[in-house]
Amino acid sequence: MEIIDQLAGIIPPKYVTYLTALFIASQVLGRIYQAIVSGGGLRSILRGIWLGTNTPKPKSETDSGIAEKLSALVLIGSIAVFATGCKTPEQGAYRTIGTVSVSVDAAMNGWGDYVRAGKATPEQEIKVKAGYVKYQTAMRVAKITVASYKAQPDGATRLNSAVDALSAAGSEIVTLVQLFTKGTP
Amino acid sequence: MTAEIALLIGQALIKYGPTVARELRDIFSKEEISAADWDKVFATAEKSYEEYTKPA
Repeated sequence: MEIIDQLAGIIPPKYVTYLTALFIASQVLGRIYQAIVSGGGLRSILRGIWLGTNTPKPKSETDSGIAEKLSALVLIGSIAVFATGCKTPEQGAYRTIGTVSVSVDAAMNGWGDYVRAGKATPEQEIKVKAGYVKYQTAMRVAKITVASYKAQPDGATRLNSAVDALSAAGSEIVTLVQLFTKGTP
Repeated sequence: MTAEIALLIGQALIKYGPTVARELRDIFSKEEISAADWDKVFATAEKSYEEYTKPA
């Protein structure tokens, strides 16, 4: 109100309402902008508007972003929903393989942070590496199958099998990483 | 895009941030899958374990 009183003394009354609205809007827009720039996502934007802050809580360097990245298992668990309503087997395969790929990449990025933080034991590293190599193998099989399934009489069945195997391998590596880093799969 | 998919992408945005959500949106918005689309999906898995864990 103090600001409005001050403005009323300098600015014609008919413009005070507009300038006040502009002033408030600039604060909200500024918080949204800051939330986007700081990479906090929608949650940070909403916090910025309603709670007046979008400054992320200070995290230790070792834990930075790990929790978010490792929650990707939820995405893999949602594949059944993702694959529904597809027009072609290829589209269904693409959605499933794409979701697994995004999920595993997110989990492995989190695992990389965990390893760099010096928290991973040698045994854990061996297991995660083996799981990741298994996932890569399943992905190569899927790649070959995608390229050739149309030319084979049982191509659709082969494609489904390859996608199922890839989903299993992807879930396994993400679960393993979550287990080691958070204590729960 | 179904309501379920839109909801899940929204959840991904809140939980994992804009990068993951954008990648999922791109995947689910494709009607026709091109060779380049497939290459992009498979390319991620070519990244080695060491690339993920190498010192910053």
